[in-house]
Amino acid sequence: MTPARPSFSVLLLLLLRLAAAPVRAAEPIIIGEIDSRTGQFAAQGSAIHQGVTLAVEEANGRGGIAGRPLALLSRDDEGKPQRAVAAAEELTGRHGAVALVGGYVDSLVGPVAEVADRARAPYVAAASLDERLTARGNRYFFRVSNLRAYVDVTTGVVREVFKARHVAILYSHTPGASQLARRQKEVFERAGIHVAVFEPFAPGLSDFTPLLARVRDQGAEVLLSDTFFADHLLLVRQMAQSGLRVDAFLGAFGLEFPSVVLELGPASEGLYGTTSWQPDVNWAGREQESRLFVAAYTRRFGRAPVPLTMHGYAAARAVIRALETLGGGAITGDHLREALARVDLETPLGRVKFDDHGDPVAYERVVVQIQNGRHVVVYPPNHATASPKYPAR
Amino acid sequence: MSLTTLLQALVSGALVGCLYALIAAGFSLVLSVSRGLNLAHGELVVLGGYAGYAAWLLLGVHPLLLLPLAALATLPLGLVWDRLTARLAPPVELWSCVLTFGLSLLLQSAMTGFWSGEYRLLASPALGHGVALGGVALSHARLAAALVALAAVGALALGLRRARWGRAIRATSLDRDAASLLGIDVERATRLAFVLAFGLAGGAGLLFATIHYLYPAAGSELTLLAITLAIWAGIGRMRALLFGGVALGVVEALTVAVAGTGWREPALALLLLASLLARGGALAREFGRRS
Amino acid sequence: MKLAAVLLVLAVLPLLGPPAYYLYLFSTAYQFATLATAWSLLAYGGQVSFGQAAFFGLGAYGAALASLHGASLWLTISLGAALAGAGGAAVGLAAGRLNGAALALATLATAELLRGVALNWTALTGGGSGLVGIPSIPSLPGIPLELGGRRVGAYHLSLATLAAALTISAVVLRSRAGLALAALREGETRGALLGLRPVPWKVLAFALSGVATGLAGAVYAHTLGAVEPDVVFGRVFSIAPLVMATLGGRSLLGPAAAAVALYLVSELVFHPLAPALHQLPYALALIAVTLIRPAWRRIP
Repeated sequence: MTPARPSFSVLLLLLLRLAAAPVRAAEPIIIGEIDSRTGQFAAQGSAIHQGVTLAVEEANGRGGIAGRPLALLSRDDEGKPQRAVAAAEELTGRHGAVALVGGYVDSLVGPVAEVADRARAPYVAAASLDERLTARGNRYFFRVSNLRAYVDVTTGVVREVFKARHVAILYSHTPGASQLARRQKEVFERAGIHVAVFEPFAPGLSDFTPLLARVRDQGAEVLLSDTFFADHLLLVRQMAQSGLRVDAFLGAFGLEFPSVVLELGPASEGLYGTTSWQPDVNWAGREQESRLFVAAYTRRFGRAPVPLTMHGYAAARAVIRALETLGGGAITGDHLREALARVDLETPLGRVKFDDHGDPVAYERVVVQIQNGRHVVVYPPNHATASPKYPAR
Repeated sequence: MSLTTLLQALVSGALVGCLYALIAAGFSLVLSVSRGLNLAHGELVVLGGYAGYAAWLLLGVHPLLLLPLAALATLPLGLVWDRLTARLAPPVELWSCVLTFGLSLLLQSAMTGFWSGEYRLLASPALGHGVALGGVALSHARLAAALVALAAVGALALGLRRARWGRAIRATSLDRDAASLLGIDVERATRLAFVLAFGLAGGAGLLFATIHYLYPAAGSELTLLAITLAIWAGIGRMRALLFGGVALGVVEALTVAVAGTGWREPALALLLLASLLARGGALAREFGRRS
Repeated sequence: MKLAAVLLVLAVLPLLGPPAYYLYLFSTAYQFATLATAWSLLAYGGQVSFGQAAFFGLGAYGAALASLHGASLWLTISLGAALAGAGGAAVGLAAGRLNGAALALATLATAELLRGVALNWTALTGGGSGLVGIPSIPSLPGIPLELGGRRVGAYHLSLATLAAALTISAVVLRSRAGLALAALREGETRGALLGLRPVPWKVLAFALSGVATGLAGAVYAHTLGAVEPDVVFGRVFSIAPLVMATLGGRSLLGPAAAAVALYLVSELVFHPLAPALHQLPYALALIAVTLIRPAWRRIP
C-alpha cells in the first residue's frame, strides 16, 4: 500500500457524498406582521408597518439570521377582529411564521395573542395597553409598551409639577383610555387629589360647553384628556370658543404630534402631551442611535418617522435579536419564546426587556409641552429640556 | 346642575337643533316627493363637509364663503339618486332603504379611499372664538351654523309655499297622479326636489365640519337623526321640522348635561325607536297615500 | 335527505387534515350562513330586518358573560341563544304593528340602542373595553387533536349551529306557522280579514330568528375570545345577512350557500387583492339587487 496517495475508494465515497447531498438554499425565516393598513387606523398601522419593515431590512442587510434571510409577510386586519384572527391563523398555519409582530388596537391584539398562544408563535405587540392581556398567563404574548408608563408620567407631573388639588378626567371608551383613566383616578385619590369630574367622552355635534362649564364649576385646575387626537382638537377649540380655561390641558395620547401645532395654531400653545420617542425629542444617551434611525428611515421612506414607527421597529428588533441568539438550526416556538424572554436590547425607544408576563420592564414616557410652536420635554426632571409654563396662559 | 349650566344646555341645544333641522330638511324633501328613504343622506352631508374642507385648505377663505362650493359637490348626485330611485319596484319605501344603504357604503368607501380614515376638522381661526352672554358661552361657529341653517330652512319653506317650483313640488308630494293630471311636470319637480335637497345636505356638511370632525363613517348618526326628525315632523313640513330640530337639540343637550356624553347616542336611538312605535300607524298611512 | 347528506360531508371534512386556517375560515363562513338563514326566515314572513346585529350581539354577550362566570360551553351557547331569542320576541311584540320600511328602521334603531347600552353599562358589559378571556371551544370528545388541531371544535360547533338554524327554518316553513307567515307576507290586511292575527306570528318569527342569530353570536364569542360593543353590535352583522340572503334566493339552503360562497370568495380573493375596497362588493350587491329584478327577488 502506498500511504501518500488517497485511496480510490475514499475519493469515490467523497464524490458520492457530494452528489447525494442536495445543494441547500438558505431557507427564509418567516415573520408575520398584522396591522391596520386600511380603515380607521390606517395611519397608525402603516407607521408600525414601516418600523417593522426597516428593522427586517436592516437585519437582512447584516446577513440575516445565521445565513438565512428574514421574510416579512404583512397582512391588513382592516380594523376587524375576525380579519386579524384570520390573518394570524393564515400566517402561523399556512405560511409557518415563527413569530408575529404589529398591532395598535387592543381589541385586535387580544384575539391575535390567543392565536399566537395556541399556535405557539410568539407575538410582540407594538402598541398594546390593555392590562388584561398580560394578566392571563399567555406565555407567547409580549409587548414593547404598557399602560404603567402612561399612568406614572401623567400622575407624576400633576402631583409634582402642577401640584394641583382638583383635576378633571375625560376618557374615551377604548380599553387603553378607560383603564388609564381608572388608574389615574386611583393614584390621585390615594394622594389626596380630588377628581372633580370623571366622565367618558363620546363626541358628537352637541356642545361640550355644559361639560366644560361643569369642569370649571368644580374648580378643576387640570384637565386630563384621555382621548385621542381629534377629540383634543374639539375640546381645545371649544374651550377657546367658550372662554373656559384650565391651568393645564394634558392629553396622554396624540398631543405629541407636530400636526397639533399645524391644526390648532396659536391655540396649541401650552398644551401638554406624552411621548416615548420622537425625532426631535431625545433623552439619556440615545441621541446617536436615534439619529441613525431617523436618517435610515428618511432614506427609505422619504419623510420623518413618528413614535409608532419606533414602536414597530423596537418590537421587530426584539424578535430579530431573539432569533439571533438561537443561532442556526431549527426554530421552535418554545425556544423562540424562551429567547424572547431573555432579550435585553438597547433601542432608541429605550431598553427592551420583558418581564414574566410579557410586559416591558423599562418602557418610559415623558411629558412634553408645546412652547413657541415646538414640543419640549418638561417632566420628569432628569429628562427635561425646558421648564414647564404653568399655568399654561 | 346649576342654573347657568341648564341655560347653557338649552341655548347650545337650540343652536345645534337648527343645524339638525337643516340636515333633516333635505331628507324630508326627498321623502316627500319620492316616498324614498335616503339612508345615504348622512354620507352626503359628510361628503359636503369633505368638499368644503378641501376647498378651505386650498383657498383659505372664511368657511361660510365656501358654502356654495360644498353644495355644488353634492348637488349633481341628486340627479343620480333621482334616476336610480325612479327605477325601484314597489314598495319604494323598503327598496329605497336597501338601495341607499348600498349607496351609503359606496360613498363611505369612496371617501375612505380619497381621504383615508383620519379625522379632519375645519379649524378655521375666523370661527375660533365666542361671545359670552350672561354666563352662557356661545361659540361663533355654532352661532353661524344656526343662522345659516335657519336662513336656508326658512328660504326653503318660503319657496315651497310661494314659488311656482315650490308649489309644483308640494303638489307632486301630495298626490303624484293628480298633480300630473293638472299639468304639473312631476318628473321635473321630483328632479328639482332631489337637487335642492342634496345641495342643502352639502351645505349642511360644511357647517358640520366647522363644529365637529369629519371621518367617513360619521354619516350614519346623521342619517338616524334625519329619520327621527322626519318622523316627528311629518313628511315635508318645514316649520314642524324646525321646531322638532330645536326640541331634539335641547333634549340631547340636557341628556349630556345630566348623564354625560356617553348616553347621547343611545338616547337618540331610543327617540327614533319611540317615534317609530308611536307614529307607526300614521307613517303607514302617509306612505300608503302615494299611488 | 339532501340537507343531511351535505351536513354529513361537511362534518367529516376536518378528517382530511386541513390547516387550522381553513377550518377557521369555514367556521366563520358557517356563522354567516346561520345569520343569512335566520334573516331569511324573517323575510319569509315579510319582515325585512336591518338590525340582526342586535340579536348577534345579545348572543355574543350572553355567552361571554355566562362563560366568564364559569358556565360550561353548552350552557353559554344556550344562554346566549335564549337571550337573543327573548330580545327577538320583545322586538316582535313592540314592533308588531309596524311594517315595511318602518319595521326595518325600528330594527336598525334597536341594534343601535343595544350598542349604546353595551357601551355605557360598564358594570355589566365592560363598557367600551368589552369582555376578554372567553374560553375557546374544545374539540368534540373522541376526535384526536392531530386532526385539524385547535380549530376543529369551533368548526363542528359552527356547523352544528348552521344545522340548527336550517332545521328551525325547515320546520317552520312546513308548519302552520309557515302558512301564516306566508299569508302575512302576501297581505296583512287580507290576512286580518280572514281572522289571522299578525302579532303572535311576528313574535314567533322574530324569536326564532333571534335564537338562530344568537347561536352564531355565541359561537363567535368563543371563537374570537373577546366581545366589544362596536364589533358584535356593528353594522357588518346586519348588512351581511341581508346581502347574502337576498342574493341566495328564497329556498331553504339558498341563503346559507350564498353566504358561504360570498364569504370564502371575499376572504380568499378580495381581501388579499384589494383590502381597501372590501366594502365595495357588499355595496354593489345591494345596489344591483334593488335595480335588477329577477323573478326570485320577491320579498315585499
